[in-house]
Amino acid sequence: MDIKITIEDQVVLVNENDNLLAACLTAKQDVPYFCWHPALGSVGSCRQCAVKVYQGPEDTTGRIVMACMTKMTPAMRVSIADGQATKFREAIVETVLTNHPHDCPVCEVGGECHLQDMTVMTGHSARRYRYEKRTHLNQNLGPFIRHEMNRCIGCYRCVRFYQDYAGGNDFGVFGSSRNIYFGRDESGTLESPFAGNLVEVCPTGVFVDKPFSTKFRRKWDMRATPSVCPHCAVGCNITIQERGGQLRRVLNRYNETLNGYFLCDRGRFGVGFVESNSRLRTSRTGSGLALSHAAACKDLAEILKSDRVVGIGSPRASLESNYALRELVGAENFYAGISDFDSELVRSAIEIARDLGLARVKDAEQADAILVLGDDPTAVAPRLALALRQATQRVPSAILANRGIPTWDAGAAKLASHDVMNPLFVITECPSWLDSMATQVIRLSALEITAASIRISNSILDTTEESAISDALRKAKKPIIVVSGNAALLRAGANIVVALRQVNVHAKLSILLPEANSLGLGLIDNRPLSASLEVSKGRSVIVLENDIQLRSPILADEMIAEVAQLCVLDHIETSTTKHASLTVAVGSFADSDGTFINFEGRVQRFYKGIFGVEEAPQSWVLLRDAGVMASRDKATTWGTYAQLLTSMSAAIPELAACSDASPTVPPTTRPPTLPYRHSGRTAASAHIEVREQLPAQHNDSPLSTTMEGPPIHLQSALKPVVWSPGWNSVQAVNKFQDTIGGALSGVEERFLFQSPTGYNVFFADVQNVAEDHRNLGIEEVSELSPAIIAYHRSMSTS
Amino acid sequence: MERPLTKNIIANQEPYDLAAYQAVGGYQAVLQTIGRIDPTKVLEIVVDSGLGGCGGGGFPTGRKWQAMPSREERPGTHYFIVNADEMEPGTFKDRLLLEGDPHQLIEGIILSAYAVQADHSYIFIRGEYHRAITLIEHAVSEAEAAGLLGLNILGSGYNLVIHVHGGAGRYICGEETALLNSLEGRRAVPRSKPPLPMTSGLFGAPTVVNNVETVCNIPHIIANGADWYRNLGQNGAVGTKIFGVSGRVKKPGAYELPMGTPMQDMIENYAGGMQHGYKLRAVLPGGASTGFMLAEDLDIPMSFAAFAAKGNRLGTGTAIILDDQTCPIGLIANLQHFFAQESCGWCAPCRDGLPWVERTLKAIEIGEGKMDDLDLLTDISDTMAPGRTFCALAPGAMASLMTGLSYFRDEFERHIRDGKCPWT
Repeated sequence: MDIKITIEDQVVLVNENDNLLAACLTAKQDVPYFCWHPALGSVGSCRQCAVKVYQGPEDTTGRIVMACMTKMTPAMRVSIADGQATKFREAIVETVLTNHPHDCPVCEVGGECHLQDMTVMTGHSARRYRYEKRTHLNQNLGPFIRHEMNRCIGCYRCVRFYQDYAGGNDFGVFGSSRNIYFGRDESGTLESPFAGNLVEVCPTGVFVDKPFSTKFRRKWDMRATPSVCPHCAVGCNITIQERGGQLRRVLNRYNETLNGYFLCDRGRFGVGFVESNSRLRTSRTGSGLALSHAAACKDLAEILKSDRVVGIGSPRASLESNYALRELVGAENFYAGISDFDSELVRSAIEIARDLGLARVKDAEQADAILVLGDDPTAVAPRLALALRQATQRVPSAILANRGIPTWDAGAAKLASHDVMNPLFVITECPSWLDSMATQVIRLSALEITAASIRISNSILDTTEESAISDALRKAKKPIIVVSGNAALLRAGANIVVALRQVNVHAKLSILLPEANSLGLGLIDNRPLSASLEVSKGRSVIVLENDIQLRSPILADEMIAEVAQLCVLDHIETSTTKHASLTVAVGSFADSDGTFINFEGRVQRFYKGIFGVEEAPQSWVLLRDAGVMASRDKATTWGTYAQLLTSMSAAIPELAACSDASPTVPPTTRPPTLPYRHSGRTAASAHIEVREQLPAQHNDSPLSTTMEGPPIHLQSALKPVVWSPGWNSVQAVNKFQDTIGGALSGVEERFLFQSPTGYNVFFADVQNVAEDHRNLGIEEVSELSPAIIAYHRSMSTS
Repeated sequence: MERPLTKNIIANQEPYDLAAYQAVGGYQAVLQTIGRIDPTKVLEIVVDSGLGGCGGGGFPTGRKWQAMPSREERPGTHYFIVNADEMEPGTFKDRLLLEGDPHQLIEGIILSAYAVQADHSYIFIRGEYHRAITLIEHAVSEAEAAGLLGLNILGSGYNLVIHVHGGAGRYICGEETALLNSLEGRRAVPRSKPPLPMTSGLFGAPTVVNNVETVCNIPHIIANGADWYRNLGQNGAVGTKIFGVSGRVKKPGAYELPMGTPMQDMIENYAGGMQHGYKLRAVLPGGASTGFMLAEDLDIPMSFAAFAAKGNRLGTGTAIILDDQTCPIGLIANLQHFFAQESCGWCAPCRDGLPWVERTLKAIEIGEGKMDDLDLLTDISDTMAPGRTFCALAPGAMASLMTGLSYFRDEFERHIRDGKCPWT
């Protein structure tokens, strides 16, 4: 319920279920804090967010409280600027800094450090402590994270994230008094698949992004661009940062209903493939002769001139690139190029999605009962697994209300109950990370899981059949069924949702899909590689960003042996490029504009974020240029990115959402992707040219490639990076939410399958025909990242 | 003068076993109460007695118990916990009770747990109290064998199991919520309050935590009634309490005296006054977490209320005497060393503030202080004022420093001015 309180003499309407700190930040007031985190809640350990509170009009003395631990009451008056409170906040920073090293100039976090920001905010400037500082030995935490314990200010965020939020048990807090130590019991690679978040959770530089350290640049020297993680079908929102044509690092890009504040390690460190040795930078002929980008385009145009060309699309390429290829070769000659298994499951998934709709990650986090069927979500959709963990760990709100514990009081909430959790049932073939949190774990073969699912849906409708799982699902108010695997299993899982809805339980369904754009490609074409085998005999085949050898070595070998010419467009070397008579280098996701549709049906635009010299073109641009050269009429009708979207919407009406998901901004008001202080930019290329380089020319994006444009903190929804005066760290996201922890201001997202059609109709059982050749938990391109390779190596030797 | 708490304790002798304890009237209160008197009636008597928590807070025990939800409101296990983690510097009263009359504590637990309808009880004993742990474990097994503990006690249908838990040696475990975390196998850091343990305590269940001495009062209150107990006290206070004196007095030790006895009376008439050649300079009245009192203020009655009225705390009631030949800065520095070491590390001002205080005092003590340090100490003390830290450890630690800075200002300045300690 909303109540009125006064903050700094302004009457504001606040949600009484929030804590006072969140309310102050929502009112866009600056209150410093360390231990509080919107996703981790309040624990009251750092004592930094002190404010003075007066209870109603009669109270003239007031008292100092920690805002993060304070419930709000009507007519409360809050003074942040109060002299006592201000002095206390400065004293706290002075105290925690007694042991903090003066190493900001050589610290990777310098310039985007929450501790720096808070220190400046409190006004503390001169050190009075004149004794020895406590020091620690650092640990080797593996290839992702570097440890600098001397910088620690003891806010406990790391351990609260690692243990409480992400369920890791190989990292904790040791010792007591000022010797507290956050680390492992001994050096070794962090085991949690979410360890990388420590980089953003830590308010200072204790946990540093190790791969980034090797190609480090200051925040103000890097171009930042909003993007979408290409490593699984969840499509977490990320910010990519670049300098000198090199991708430097990935940061979480806040999205309330999707990834929130956290990414998985594959997402954060997998992008290393963009700069890896496996990157395909130049085009070549079959004999290995290097080709310029222009020459390669011309060769591709020659191929397009032949009378019938077969196009093989890709679930890791954008909708735009897939559509461009389809346009050039003709819809009838375009194939999705996936395995029979994936083709069946995507077809089923789309059919089910149209009938039942798809759950969002936030729904999983808020579910009160969970059934996991098929694969381990941690391997297929890691961020979703982290959301499921939150659902299982949350003490039910009724219990908290009974004890008078507010939901934000994380310390009290986690201790309030030891046995009541939201039920989680895990029915998978292989051991799952979720097993340890599960109410019940059932290990079955894939076929048996389908049979078990059918029994569950039957027992939901027929209450005479005893089933703990059906009972729990029936009793829940917002259960979620998470299913992945073969098409038959998807339908069996969907039928559980239908059955629950028939007994008036509004269950949601989440179908895990294999790749970043599996769903998007499925809406363009869903014909597998096997279907293209006959037609491609003796023809020219263009393969778009797809390692068909990985899909099916047997089919791929057969196809390669019988085609007239094999042309492969890709940004990495694959086993398929080895066989190509023409290999054309194209841009990676980070070099490209495009759209992915994730496993929730969320239509997500990503933007070209890397501008290099002599860089390879994006796939759809290359295809357009080759098409024009080959005098294909169609290619000339979509000269620009916007025109391509228009053409795609006309051809496939469901994809009109892509146009809506792609904002158009006039050139003069485009948000700049380069920060104001982008320093040393002329010196960086002074060995080639002493004059300032011309800005990169790119018109297909609503973002500007230069430093010019409205300041970041004044921009609307589309922000290259979060940054606000006084808030240089990732915590600046507070400034861009209407309510703290809520949606980013002004963001409108597009979803497919918003009007489910059939709530009551069961899906017919299908026999699963395709064999399961999937290599679970492995996604092709992130496996090329040096950091990921080092991680596997360190885990196999430890 | 009645000494209910220590009447069975004879110095340098083994404590009473079950038979001997029963022979002097022990467990009569249990026999007359469990299954015969309604638990709410027992609770009422304790409320009426005015008994205050003897761990240092003085909070009315009956009111604490009243905050426990009924078994109808909260089904499942309820806990009654005895805080025997006596680690306050200068304090040794609970040890006397644990080692001197273990069955008195067991009887107190049975009655208290019955009053709050708890079915499990933990006695959290300071790990270094080896002898107490052995004696209490033995007493528990004797009581179990006699049917005074366990299932269906005395045929009443009431069940109570007592677990004896030896602590692993942290001062903070004496803080009741840190004690709960430690019992659960978590790090011994305090919990946020609210919720109080009565609402969400051990393993999330309704829980009462009481000090050893508090619990030992219960059998006598139940056996003799609230009025009897109230009349034991003097100067408006109720009951008796074990007070203690350490330092250069003739007879340091623990004395059971009426609540409200003037402090002067205890030091002069029970502890025998100061040793020859020493003068009393100041007193830390109730352990290391209370503020200094000067010699001229010692006519104060020893009660929670009288001390609160003076802005100080009675604390554990065990006084540490500062004489005229001991450096007060050295004493305070020593105390701050203890507190800095025992800070649990959870909240910033305590964790990083206390070591700063400790180092500053050490510097002043050895003559390396600066005049600015005195303002600095005041500033840091202010940062650790009550309500500003997560628990009461740091404000307690600051009590001796704040009062010391005002009472011993000259000595502080002399250390700094002369560049050395005048007592060395």
